[in-house]
Amino acid sequence: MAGTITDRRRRPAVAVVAVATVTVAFLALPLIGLFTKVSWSTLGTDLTSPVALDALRLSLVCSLWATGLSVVLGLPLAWVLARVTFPGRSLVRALAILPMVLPPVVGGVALLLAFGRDGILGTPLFDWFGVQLTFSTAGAVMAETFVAMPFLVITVEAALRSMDGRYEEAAANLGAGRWTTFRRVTLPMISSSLIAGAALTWARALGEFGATITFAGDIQGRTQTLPLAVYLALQGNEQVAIALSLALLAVSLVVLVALRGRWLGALSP
Amino acid sequence: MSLEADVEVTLDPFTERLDLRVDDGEVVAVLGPNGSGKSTLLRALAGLQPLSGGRIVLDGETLDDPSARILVPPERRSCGMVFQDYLLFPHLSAVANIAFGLRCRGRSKAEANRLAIEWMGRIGLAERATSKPAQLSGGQAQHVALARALATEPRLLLLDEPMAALDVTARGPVRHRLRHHLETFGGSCVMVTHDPLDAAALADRLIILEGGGVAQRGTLAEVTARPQTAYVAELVGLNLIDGEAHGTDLVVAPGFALETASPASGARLAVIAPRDVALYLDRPDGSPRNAWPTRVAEVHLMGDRVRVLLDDPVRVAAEITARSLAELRLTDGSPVWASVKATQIDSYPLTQP
Amino acid sequence: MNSHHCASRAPRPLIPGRSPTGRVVLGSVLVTVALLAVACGSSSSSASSTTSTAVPSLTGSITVSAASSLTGAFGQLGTLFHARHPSTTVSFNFASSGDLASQITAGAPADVFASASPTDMATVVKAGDVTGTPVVFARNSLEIVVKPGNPLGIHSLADLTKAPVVSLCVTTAPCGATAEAALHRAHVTLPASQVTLGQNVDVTFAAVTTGDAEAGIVYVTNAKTIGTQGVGIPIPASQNVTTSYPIAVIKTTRDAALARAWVAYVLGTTGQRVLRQASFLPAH
Repeated sequence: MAGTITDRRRRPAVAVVAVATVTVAFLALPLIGLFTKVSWSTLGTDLTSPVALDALRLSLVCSLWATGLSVVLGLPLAWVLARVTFPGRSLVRALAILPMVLPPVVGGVALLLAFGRDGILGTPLFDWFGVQLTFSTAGAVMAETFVAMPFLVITVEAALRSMDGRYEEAAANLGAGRWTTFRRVTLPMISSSLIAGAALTWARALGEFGATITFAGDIQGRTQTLPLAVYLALQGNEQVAIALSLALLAVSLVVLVALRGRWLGALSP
Repeated sequence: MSLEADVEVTLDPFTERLDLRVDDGEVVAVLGPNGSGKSTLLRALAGLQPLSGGRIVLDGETLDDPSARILVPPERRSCGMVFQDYLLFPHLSAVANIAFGLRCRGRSKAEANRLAIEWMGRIGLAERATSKPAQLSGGQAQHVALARALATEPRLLLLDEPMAALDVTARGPVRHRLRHHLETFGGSCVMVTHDPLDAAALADRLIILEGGGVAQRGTLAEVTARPQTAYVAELVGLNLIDGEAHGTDLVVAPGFALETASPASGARLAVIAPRDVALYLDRPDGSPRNAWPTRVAEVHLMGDRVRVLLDDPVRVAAEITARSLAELRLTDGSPVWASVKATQIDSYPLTQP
Repeated sequence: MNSHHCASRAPRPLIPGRSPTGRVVLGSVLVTVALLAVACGSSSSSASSTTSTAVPSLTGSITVSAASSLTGAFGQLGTLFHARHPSTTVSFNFASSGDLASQITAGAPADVFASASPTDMATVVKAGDVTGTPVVFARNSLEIVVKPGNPLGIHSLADLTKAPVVSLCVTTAPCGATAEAALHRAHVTLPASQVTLGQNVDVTFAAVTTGDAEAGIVYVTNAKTIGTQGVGIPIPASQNVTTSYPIAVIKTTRDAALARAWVAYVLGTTGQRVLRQASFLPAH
């Protein structure tokens, strides 16, 4: 019957829903395109070719290392930024976030200038220790860590700030030293933010292209991660490129779904 | 064995300086208005706020002495603290909260757990052992926080506004249980509160803190009988008047003196109970030696009693019945005569706290 | 084939964005050039050079998709062409020929395609995207480049195995395909773990000059520009591989006349001179 309201809850505005639908289509279409263009019959062989396996393995190894490094290096920095007042703190925070706004290739060039054989740190590293970071898996890990770590620092810093610091005082009062307090009180209380931050970091590291190819080069089995392999395959082997893209997409989707509502909670201050 | 503290803390722009001594088994309540430095005192005793000067010695061990460069960090002090909002670790169960301190101080996980469960029984919450703090009521959380602080058998117990987080109806029974635990506690206890009922029920002695210094100290009876500051007087619901005594006259304002019961001289204080202040529309006849014209500043209804604030020449609160208020037809600004019997004004000297 | 293009337009007084003084100066220069051009005479696309008084004026804009190795030479030619025909705009899209062929067959707008290999041109021809027949306008061969001073002592393709990392193009780019062929001719195999791949010859070259790759295989035309950033090691003819550069007009061109004019310019005296200066080999 026209005019009666059977559902008494307030309905969202039609215009808003319409725009939102268009947005969803905009985001979904490229992904749907991937699904429709994939060659399902050859998917198995495409993903098990040496190039693909190397790329998959490298991506997994490098991104996990990069995430681990981001946590180990980023956690102390986040703690200092959240808990310690010192002159120049906003500058340090800006520096920690900088790789996030820097174009990745620029990041790669910057890494080259610092850690390349002719770089500031790279020269003594090579001359005294024979260590070369460019064109190495370690270099790929470095590039990924550089661009992904800001995600972890930002998330954890926000969590530490919003956490009541008096819990740490209560722990001290009960006899916990600094490390015990951190381990048994602070960390558990920021754990969900830490996990979300680590997941974001990992996803970013997995998808990194510009910095990796500039700093670590494109060497199959050593630095040719999934994104680089896709780029390579696009020319002449589109089928494999699509298969690899699908693999990347699948992994990202799994992570996102697993985290569900944690994103917004973790990212808001 | 006892706590001897000579506390001086400078937190810009405020400096707090006071001293206190608490013997084993004693409970000292620290009262004062907001901002008087009560929390700072507790934090200094706990080690969360270093002293700027002075010394803290607990059972012979120096905990904080800036001049001797001694500062024992909070985790190494034998001090248990119950925070104003308890600060129970939200990710740990009640039992785990209590066991936390025990484990930090070296007990094995199993033993800490066992002792913690015993404590849960002692506070009557054995069945809530595995509950998380969010699932506990205010009173239950307070007990767990107390158990957590007592479990490590500290020599100094600090309570920060123990009843503040509870609603008024819950306070009675909780206060009762707290009193029971304090009686069995062997160490020194310092309790910060703004509620004189807490002091009355739980404390042996009081210290009144105002503006970063001690305004008055003594037992509850001593303090309420002879309040030294307006804050204390208000705390116990009395009018405080200060003036210069010349014999039985107490000059409280230029050209205005009250006659008191006994002669004295010098600076004196006097308390007048509000119910001892009588109000008249005209100058009263009869025996009251003190009668003066004044004006009504405010009227507060409190059930079937009324508190009438008078000013000019001296601020005094009178307590009359609602019926009297109606009969006298008093409102803000009404002129009225107030009178107090001289025998009801007993002056006493100011004393150093 | 030799064609003479001296045509130019009379200058318009309104030149956007220039100061009045500038306009006067440019105007006088162009008038002088125009008069000289008219004096030189003009001809159509046929082989004879005759003087003619009718000079068709060239306008319009085109995009030339060209192999990366042509960046320097075509850039120079573009400037010279614009000086000759100021009302034209020639923009360039430099990338590996393989990428360009994919783009064009996928419908990317281009007016002229200059490829570094006949194979990529054939792809585009087969897709029916070319007007007329492609013409080879230059050839190129390969050269090894190493770090300044040649610290690893690389003097041949076989020596490349000494380098921890060698920079090569991807095989879908002509420089990569030819490098692979050259290595094959020299019976040299480089394991994948020793090779870093560049999407086009510029990237491959940069990996050695500014990056940390100790050696790479690029074109002779790249090696010529190395300066102090490295050393070029020639490859003997028995092992070297030459690649031909065909050029053609794309069917979907927006401006056929200008596109043909550009192709003729490249094939003409000026074009060939610039290409020779850049160390490209002649078409035959």
